[in-house]
Amino acid sequence: MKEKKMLTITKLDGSVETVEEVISFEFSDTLKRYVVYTKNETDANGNITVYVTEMITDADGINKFVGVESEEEWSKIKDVLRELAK
Amino acid sequence: MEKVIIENMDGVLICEVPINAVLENDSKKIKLSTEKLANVLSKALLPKENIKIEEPIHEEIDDNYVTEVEEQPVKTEPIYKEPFEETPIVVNDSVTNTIESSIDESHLYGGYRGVSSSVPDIKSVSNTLNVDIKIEKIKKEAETADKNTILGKVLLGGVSKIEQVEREIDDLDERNMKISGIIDELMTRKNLAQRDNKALENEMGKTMKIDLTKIQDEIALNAAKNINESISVLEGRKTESDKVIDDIEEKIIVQKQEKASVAETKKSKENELYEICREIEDNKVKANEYMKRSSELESLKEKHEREEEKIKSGISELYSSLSLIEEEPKRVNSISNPFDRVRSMEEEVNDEIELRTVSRR
Repeated sequence: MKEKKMLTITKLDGSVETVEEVISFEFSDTLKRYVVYTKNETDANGNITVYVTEMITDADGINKFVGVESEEEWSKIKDVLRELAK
Repeated sequence: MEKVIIENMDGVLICEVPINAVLENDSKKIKLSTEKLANVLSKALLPKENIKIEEPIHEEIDDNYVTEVEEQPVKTEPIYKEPFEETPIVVNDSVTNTIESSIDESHLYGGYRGVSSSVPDIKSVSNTLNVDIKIEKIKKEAETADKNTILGKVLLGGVSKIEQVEREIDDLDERNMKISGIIDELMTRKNLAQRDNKALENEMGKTMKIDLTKIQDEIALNAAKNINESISVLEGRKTESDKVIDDIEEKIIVQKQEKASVAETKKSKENELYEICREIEDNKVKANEYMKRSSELESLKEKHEREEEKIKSGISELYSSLSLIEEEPKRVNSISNPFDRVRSMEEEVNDEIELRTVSRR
């Protein structure tokens, strides 16, 4: 079985957080890449919070998590997640 | 970087990402059940194989699978500070209690959690027709009936038919309960969505969009922009919330139609049951009549046989009598001639004289 892939996120305030990658995917039309990750936070009902962000690599080769730009995009991502969750 | 095409998903590619990144903007948040998360992970674990997804992604979307909890509005405070206080919507306790369990449920249609007592009981038709009592009576009669008789066969065949229809009705009841469970859940979700919607409306009502052209100060302009963006986000969420409510209402309508159809089918099955009972009653009457006639015929047959015996014995006696009668005429015929009779008498006399003579000697 594939091992968990841990991602190291550096926040703008300099703090570092290690999170677990769930899945990453790319829309072939827009070529935008998205990362789904979790901090394994569980709510009272046992549901786990996952985070989704777009990932870009800037001119200096730094990878950045830039959030999700639009509602339309978010809606599309949710559709993908729903499908993957089946 | 490994990539794999997910079929029928408009070119979504699963890919690998670097292990280090800088967080520039907040990520979106959603919640997944452990089961759904495991499903997503399983897709990620198969990066080199095509993942076949047969159905188009826009169908069968179940909001319970992916529950959007708290999206990150752009630089604004969380919207739901105290939505319950701000939007006092009347939700009774039973509904509130169901909300948690329904959200907890990972699959909406996979199994309903109990059925509330408010589910209409469509069995009343049966009571109207008074079929239950009839069925009970027929079953009792069938238990004690002689299986070898026509009545027994009628009753046992009838009970078998009744049980078949009863099974079908049970299935319909089960289906009806399932649909009721689904409707209950949908109603709960609708209440929840309406409450969220109301909260959004309230939130939107607090602030108006600012006309940016009238602001000269840069700081104020930025603040105004932020406010406008926040309102735009709220508007977007409101639109989505409206859509969710519409979707739920559509689903409720479909389920209600299905429920009505089930009720209709059940009604027709109960009528069928009533007809079967009536048929059994008719057949019972016919069977009883047949058995009565059969019994009468049997006794008639016996009577007939007894009389036949009598006749036979009479005939036999008659034959005996006749044989006696037949012998007598022969003898009578032999002496019917008078001369012969005289001769015979002379012979008899002569014989007697001769005998006497012989005896004197």
